[in-house]
Amino acid sequence: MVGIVIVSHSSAIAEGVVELAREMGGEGVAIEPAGGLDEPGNPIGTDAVLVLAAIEKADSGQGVLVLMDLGSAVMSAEVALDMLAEKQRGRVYLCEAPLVEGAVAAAAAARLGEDLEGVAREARGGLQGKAAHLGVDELPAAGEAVSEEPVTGSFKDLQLTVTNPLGLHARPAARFVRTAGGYDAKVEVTNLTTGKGPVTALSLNAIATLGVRRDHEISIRARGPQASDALAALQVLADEGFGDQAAIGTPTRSVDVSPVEGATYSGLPVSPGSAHGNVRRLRRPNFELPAERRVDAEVELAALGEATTGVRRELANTRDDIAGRAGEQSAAIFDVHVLLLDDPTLLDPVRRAISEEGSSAARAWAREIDAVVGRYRSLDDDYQRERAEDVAEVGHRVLARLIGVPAAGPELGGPGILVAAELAPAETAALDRELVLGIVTARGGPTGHAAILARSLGIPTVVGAGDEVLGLAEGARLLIDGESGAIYVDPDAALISHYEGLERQRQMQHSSAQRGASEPAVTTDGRRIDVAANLGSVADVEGALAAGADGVGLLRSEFLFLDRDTAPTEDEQFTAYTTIAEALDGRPLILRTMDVGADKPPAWLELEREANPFMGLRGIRLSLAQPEMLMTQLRAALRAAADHPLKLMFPMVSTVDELQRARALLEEAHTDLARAGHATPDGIEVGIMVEVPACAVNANAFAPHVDFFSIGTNDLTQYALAADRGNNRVAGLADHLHPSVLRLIAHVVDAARRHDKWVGVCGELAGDPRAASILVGLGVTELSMSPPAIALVKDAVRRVTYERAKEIAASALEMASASEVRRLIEND
Amino acid sequence: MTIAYDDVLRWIRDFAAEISDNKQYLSKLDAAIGDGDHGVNMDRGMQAALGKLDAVPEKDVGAALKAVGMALISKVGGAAGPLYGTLFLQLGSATAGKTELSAQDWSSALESAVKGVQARGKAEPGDKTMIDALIPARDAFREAAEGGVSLGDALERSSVAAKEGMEATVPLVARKGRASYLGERSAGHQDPGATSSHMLLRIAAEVWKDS
Repeated sequence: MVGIVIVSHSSAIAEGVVELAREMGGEGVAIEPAGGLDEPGNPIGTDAVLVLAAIEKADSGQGVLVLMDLGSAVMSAEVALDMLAEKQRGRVYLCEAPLVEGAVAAAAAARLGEDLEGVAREARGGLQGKAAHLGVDELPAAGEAVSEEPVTGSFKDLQLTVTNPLGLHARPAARFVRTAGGYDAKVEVTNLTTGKGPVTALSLNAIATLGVRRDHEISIRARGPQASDALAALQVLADEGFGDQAAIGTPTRSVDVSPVEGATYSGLPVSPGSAHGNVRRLRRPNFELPAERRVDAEVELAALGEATTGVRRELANTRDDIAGRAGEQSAAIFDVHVLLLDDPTLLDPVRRAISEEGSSAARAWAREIDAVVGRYRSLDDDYQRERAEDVAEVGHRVLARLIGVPAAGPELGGPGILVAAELAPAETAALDRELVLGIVTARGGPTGHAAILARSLGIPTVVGAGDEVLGLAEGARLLIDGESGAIYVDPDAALISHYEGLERQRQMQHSSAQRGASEPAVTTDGRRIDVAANLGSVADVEGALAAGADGVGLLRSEFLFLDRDTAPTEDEQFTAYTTIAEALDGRPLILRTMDVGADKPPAWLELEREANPFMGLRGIRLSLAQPEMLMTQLRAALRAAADHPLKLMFPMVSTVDELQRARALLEEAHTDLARAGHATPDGIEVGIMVEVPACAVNANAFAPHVDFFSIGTNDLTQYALAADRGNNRVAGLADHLHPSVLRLIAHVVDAARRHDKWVGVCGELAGDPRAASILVGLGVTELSMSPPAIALVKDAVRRVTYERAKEIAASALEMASASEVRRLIEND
Repeated sequence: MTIAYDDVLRWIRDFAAEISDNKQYLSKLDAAIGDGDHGVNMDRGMQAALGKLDAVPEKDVGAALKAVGMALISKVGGAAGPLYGTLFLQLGSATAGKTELSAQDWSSALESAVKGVQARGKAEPGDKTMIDALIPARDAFREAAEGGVSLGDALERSSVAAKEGMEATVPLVARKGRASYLGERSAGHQDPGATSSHMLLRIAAEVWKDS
């Protein structure tokens, strides 16, 4: 927790303020008084040694905010700071906030786990309540003026109105700078609409501070031999909308969202529960800077040059890679990054600090980057604020090289609600899950990584809330409702307490569901539904049983052998399957044969790169193309099935022929084993995963050849709606509650019923308690999901009659869109 | 021509005595434009400093000066605490480990001390602060020392410069500290901080004149 120190001339004041602040922050807050002198009679005054002791007492490693009254209090605090060890000094912040209001606000923020920056921000805002009460409209703010040396001489002038939708933000600004820099002229820009400027046109950062948006008028002035040419070129660029193709292709959410009344934003609820906390963005972690030492300016300048060159090369490679995979427009952001590395307003102060102040390159760079990032974050333009992250990214990469450590992945700055465009798998993997109270994504959809992660961890989540949420400042207060998709910014006390009530209710329901988790799930009119677990490792089986699983409905066998260099042997596989089956103690286990493809090749398998791996050689297609791998697995599975209720299923089946060829191999494996004297089962149940729409539509033809179907709704949805669930721009389309997906499920169930076979669902849809009534009503008898969802899904099954579920399912099939289906089940 | 360790101690003791003798005077100056406690505060600080001198490791000028600085930042209380504290801490850093001081040593120690006070108080010359006595004193000493003048004479010139600087604060309008609240009304009074700073340098000139 961030500590707080109160410095005052009077010990009575300091102690009084501490007492007051504790009422807000609770007894646990580390707040220390440092008032008066340590003298008989406590004369009025400040004592730097007392301040020093208080700082050391309040510091738990998370930093200390020091609030002071006036005059010598400030200087004594500075003296105390000077006496701290350098490392500790870096995390002590002397804050100009008002003493009493600041202390109260800071204590509350510290208690909520805010970081030092957040606590300081809250302290500074401490006067707002009083100002509002007294009707003071605007607090006089110490505005940061863009200081520029006065320019004399004759200028050529150009005035124009910015017409492209995004204004002069990253990419258009980058083109502006590149164009202006191509001429022998001194070019300056002023935002006439806001009165900001003039600033040099050679600096991306300077241009950004102008905050030029659509319909703003700007004035461009140039002087020098090529002044006219420069202005002419900029005019042409402006006419082309600064190359801002985003005008026609801005990624927007594709999710079909019904806005919630009263909410600031609305998105798609994908993981139930509500969360209240601060906005957290993924950030690069701060590096520990090496201790200050005597440096040779020449050496440091050379190191700086080397680091920026290295990062430039790195960025060029990434750019080419992205351009190849996602197109020029997406890659253009890296041009912005590269340009930053040449920006004189960034580099000049760094070079000056090195050559004039004797600073090391790393320190000078870190300080300047922090300053630039801070300036961006303070702008009132969403796009520009996003630019702060670009600068931070580039800054981080260069700093990593200067210090000589690898660049680190992004992380969360503290506990709170993670707000992101969408989460990449690597990012989700690296997250400190303890810190994530809730998740909001701007894009993404119900089958995206964020949704899957959130559900598996039980984190309240809203996805597809629109790019507006990306403009939310770090630390802004947020309340999200994972049931309705509502997002409230700065919720009032009444709303918070309403949701706290709901959350308590939910917890109670959750714990009652948890208590019944290991009981069977039977509808009130007696229909039994098997609620099973999806499993990806031997170790998870205990957890699945504890969560109440009736069995394992999907064993992702390829996950068991991902992190290794050699293919798993028959014996290794036999051991793994047997271990899981034994832990299940007679409960059913459905083993899916290895489902790999070019999108996720294990290290032990050489696969050719494919342009479109989701439609490529994967699942059963790959198994049939490399039958040795499949034979090994089938033999291992059959041996395990001799003593355990193990069933087999094949993934990604499209044609009956594929199934028959796989069955023939199974037969062959069986015969081989028997001949070799191994114990084998008399028969083994064989099913297929229904992921390919062709398979669902043609289920009738498959039904005679299988014992069961298991519907993989994630892939089925993305294939049915032709929307890549990993592609932000269209992921929202891949909604598994879309009536088309439900109709495919209904079709499979019908075919199965005619042949007396059963149908399960093992995609994300199965783990959504609200979808349980539809699936049960459609005739699905087994639901397999990530273990945390089991208790609530069982609970949901027990709350409905099969008859009512059938009615809901029938209505759902008649709906025109996923959002209509959602409304239907929400209102039920 | 050097200032011995014992000379430094003598300077500190005599300065403490001077402050003590003049605490009413200093407080009276302060009462006119501030909160009237400069003399009392400085006296409390310097008395505390005297108590610390005995614990100083043998003959380390820097350590003695630092001990004074630590006492001042802790015991003075007002703005003079961190300011004089910084002055002595900087003198101490610049002379750490030395058993005696040359003219050059004193010049550079004074240099970093004044720099420290300026950084701490953010005052500019003419703001009606102790800086107005310290800066001319520093400059005069450096000039004299560089010009080959004897240590005693250089100290004397430094003291005179401080006096002129102190007197020049009378007509100034205060722009720092509590005196600045008075605005124009602060003009016509001599700055107490500049006055005590002059004492510091005058005592140095007196105690070290035969060094």
